[in-house]
Amino acid sequence: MAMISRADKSVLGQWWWTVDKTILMTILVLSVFGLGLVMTASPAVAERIGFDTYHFVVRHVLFLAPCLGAMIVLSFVQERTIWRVSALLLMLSIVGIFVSLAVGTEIKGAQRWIKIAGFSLQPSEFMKPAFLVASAWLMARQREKEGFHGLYMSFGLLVFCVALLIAQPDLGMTVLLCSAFCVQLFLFGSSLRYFVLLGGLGIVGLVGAHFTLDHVQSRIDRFLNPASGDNYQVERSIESFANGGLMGTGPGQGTVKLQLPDAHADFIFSVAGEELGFIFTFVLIGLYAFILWRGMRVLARGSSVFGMLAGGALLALVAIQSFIHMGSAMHLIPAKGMTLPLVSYGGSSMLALGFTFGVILAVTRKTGQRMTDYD
Amino acid sequence: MSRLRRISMEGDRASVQGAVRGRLAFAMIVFLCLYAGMGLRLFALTVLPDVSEPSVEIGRADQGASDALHYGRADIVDRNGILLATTLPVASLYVDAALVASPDRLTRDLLAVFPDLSHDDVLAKLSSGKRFVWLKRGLTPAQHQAANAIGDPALRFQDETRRFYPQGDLFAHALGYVGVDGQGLEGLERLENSTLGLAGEPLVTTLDVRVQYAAKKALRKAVTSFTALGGVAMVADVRSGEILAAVSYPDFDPHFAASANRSQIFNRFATGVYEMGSTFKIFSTAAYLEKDGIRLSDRFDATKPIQKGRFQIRDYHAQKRVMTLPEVFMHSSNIGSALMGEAVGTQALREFYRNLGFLNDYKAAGIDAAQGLYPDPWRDLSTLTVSYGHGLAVTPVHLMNGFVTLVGDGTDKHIRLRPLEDTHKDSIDVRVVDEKTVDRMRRLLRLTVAKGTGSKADVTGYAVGGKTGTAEKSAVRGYDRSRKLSSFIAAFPAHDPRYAVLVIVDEPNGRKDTYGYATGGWVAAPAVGEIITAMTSIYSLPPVDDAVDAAFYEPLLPLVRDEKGMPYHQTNNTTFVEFDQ
Repeated sequence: MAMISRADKSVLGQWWWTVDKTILMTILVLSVFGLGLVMTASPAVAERIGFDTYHFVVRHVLFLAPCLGAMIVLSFVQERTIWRVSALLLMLSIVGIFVSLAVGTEIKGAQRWIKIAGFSLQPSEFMKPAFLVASAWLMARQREKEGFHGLYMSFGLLVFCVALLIAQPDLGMTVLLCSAFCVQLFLFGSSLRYFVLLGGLGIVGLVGAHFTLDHVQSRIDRFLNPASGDNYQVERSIESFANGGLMGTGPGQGTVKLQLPDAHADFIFSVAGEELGFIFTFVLIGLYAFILWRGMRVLARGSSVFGMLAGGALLALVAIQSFIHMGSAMHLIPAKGMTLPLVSYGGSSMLALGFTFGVILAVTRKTGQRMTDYD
Repeated sequence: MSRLRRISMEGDRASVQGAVRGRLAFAMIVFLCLYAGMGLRLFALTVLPDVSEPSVEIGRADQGASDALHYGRADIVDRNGILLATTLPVASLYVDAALVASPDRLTRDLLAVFPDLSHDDVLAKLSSGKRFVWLKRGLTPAQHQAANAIGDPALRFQDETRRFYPQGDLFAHALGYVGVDGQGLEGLERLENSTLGLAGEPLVTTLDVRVQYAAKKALRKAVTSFTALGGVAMVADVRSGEILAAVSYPDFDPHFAASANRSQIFNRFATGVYEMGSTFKIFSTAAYLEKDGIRLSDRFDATKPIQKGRFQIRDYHAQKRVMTLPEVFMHSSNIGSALMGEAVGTQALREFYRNLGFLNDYKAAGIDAAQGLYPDPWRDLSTLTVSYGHGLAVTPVHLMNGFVTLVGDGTDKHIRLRPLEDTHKDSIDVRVVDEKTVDRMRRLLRLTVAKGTGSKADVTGYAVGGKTGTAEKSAVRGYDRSRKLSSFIAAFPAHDPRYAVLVIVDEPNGRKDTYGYATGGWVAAPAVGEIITAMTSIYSLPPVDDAVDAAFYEPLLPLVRDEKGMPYHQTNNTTFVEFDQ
């Protein structure tokens, strides 16, 4: 690029030569995928529930722009700033969850949303990445300063956050947060007994949810034995992939979006399968895999401990979330409504992703050390 | 901090970084494998849909081309595979009123296709601006095409499924009907709701369209010509317990069950609880025959009414003489039957009725019937009245099942609407009466039709055996002589019954040509005869040899006299003594 000289020592110049442009490009390509799929999937949903045809498209763009903006801004900052911003965001989201529990609107049996300036926000979406960055900092600090019990503190923080999520209740988010935290714990180098402990707790928790929460029980039962109940959404979803075949029906030509209530969010992968077909949907999976591969490889080549723990956990978070989304749509796991990162419509989750990818871009920036090592 | 210490810290940090790096690489590989798994699953679902896991939808498509014709709820067929109920896809028309350019013109176009719609109503809907307004549900294919041909983008179609009953009202009560959400609300549709909901193979019933039609035709004629409230006709296979026909009249169109009135909706054979009257003498007589040491020549004094407190038991056509057991049965003497019940005893008679299922509700495959009413407390007077069918009420299904038990082989056949799998047959055949009792009952029933009150049910050559019933319906105080329940129940051929036929007519009024009579013998017996006549041709039944028939019931003739006390003429010389051993 001739626009910015390599010798340019300005902030922008520094950023341009240090930020991982491959990951940045992949994120932008995913966003374009997402915009296209929301444009084809959401009008049918919007019309069905009586909104204006392009209601979701307009809102998607309205959220995508600040998401990408926040991502770019965050990718400039130093590690110290990252965890300070994260600590602030974590506190804000915790306050937000308390507010939503107190005065929030109940939608589909859970209190997760608060209304700000006409937009519904889901504070727990921001808590996920903020918590992972904060706990990465606590863990990394333990490695640097003797007598600092960062690990215990991050455990304590986890218990607090999970308690808030269960109060809503939001089981999907709980599973997601705990899984990403486990990955972080693994990266930190914890001994195996922590995982045995956490795994046991997880199983106890899920079995408990199975017996105390009716909808969880019915979903798991329906997954294990499809004949036992209404699997309408999963059946439509499976059908949509078969309908798509190798080349797909073509954008806008699919029918699954006419039948599934959340085609623009929780089932957008099915819309992709039907309209884009195997080849392009496979490319979509490849883009996620590429971000993960590229991100973890860059981290491994020479980031700080904090960078590896924060970046690794956030990359894992995005990956696990995409697994749950794709797995639900392809009937690999019990149906769980979860958005596909950067692709699905979803205001709060989109803004939180701006933060997530901003941190990922920041910690994968080339450091001086790495430039001398590899360039 | 000393220089040495700092170096050591640097070293620690490097080793920590190295450990985290290794684990990052490991985590990366695990995640990439998971993504690869997602890719493989995607390949399986899109490119190889046939080998994907058996989801309900795809699994069904694999079962073969014929199943492609099944939409939603399973079909119901009769014993010969004739379609009784099916589910078909239909299109329903709605309008996205926001897209209507000219409500006036579109209204005109729509009314040309649907003349039954109201102009103002349609215009209001088209002008409403709403995004979804139903215009017409369940279009015919022709209407669908015509509406599509209007070519207005505001008109939209929604695919729906709808339950159809190709036989119309013929099976209204036996099959029942479904509600707006497709769930079974009555009859088989309700009882087999979960099976039908699985959308698999058609549900096979024991019904026979031809017999059902014959039964309905005869019943309708009896009900209308005697200006009755309604009635029941049932036909069952005595050997298997399979119900061939079950009609409740008046009936209704199951496609429009919501607009039927209460009398039409009322299922008289399964939920109508009636005091059956004299047809119950079949059971009290059988109970008497079950006793040890009795003879058909046993006599009962019917010279004068039985007086029990303020209650009096009289005969309808009092003959005021001492009668033999066959005479009591064929002339339907209340006094004689009451005396038989008294001889059986309260405890034994109640137990006998319980074994016949009269004291409980009735449940069998594809049919269940309401619990009746029985005397509680059961006094000795009750024993007398229930012997001729008063003071105890059951549904026609109960009556039919008890009758099939007595004339079949003496075991409970559990009459039902669904064929029984062979493996279950033995387990349910509970013996209720002795085979000797069955044989005597068959002869008594044949005698009643050949020479007694049931002569109008006889079909030449088919040796019908049966019993009349004329019950006075209970009123607020006592019984109302003008409101009757007239019935006839029969089996044929009497010496080895194959089929049982029941007709009940509720509150018939006498006609000129019946000399004002509206009794079971005048009202229901001819209807039973008509049904049997129809069945002989439907099933090409061979007639019974006259000599065989005569040899079956004429041995009883020496024991009986006609209503005027005269002996009957005997065609062969079989003596009674031989038979009564």
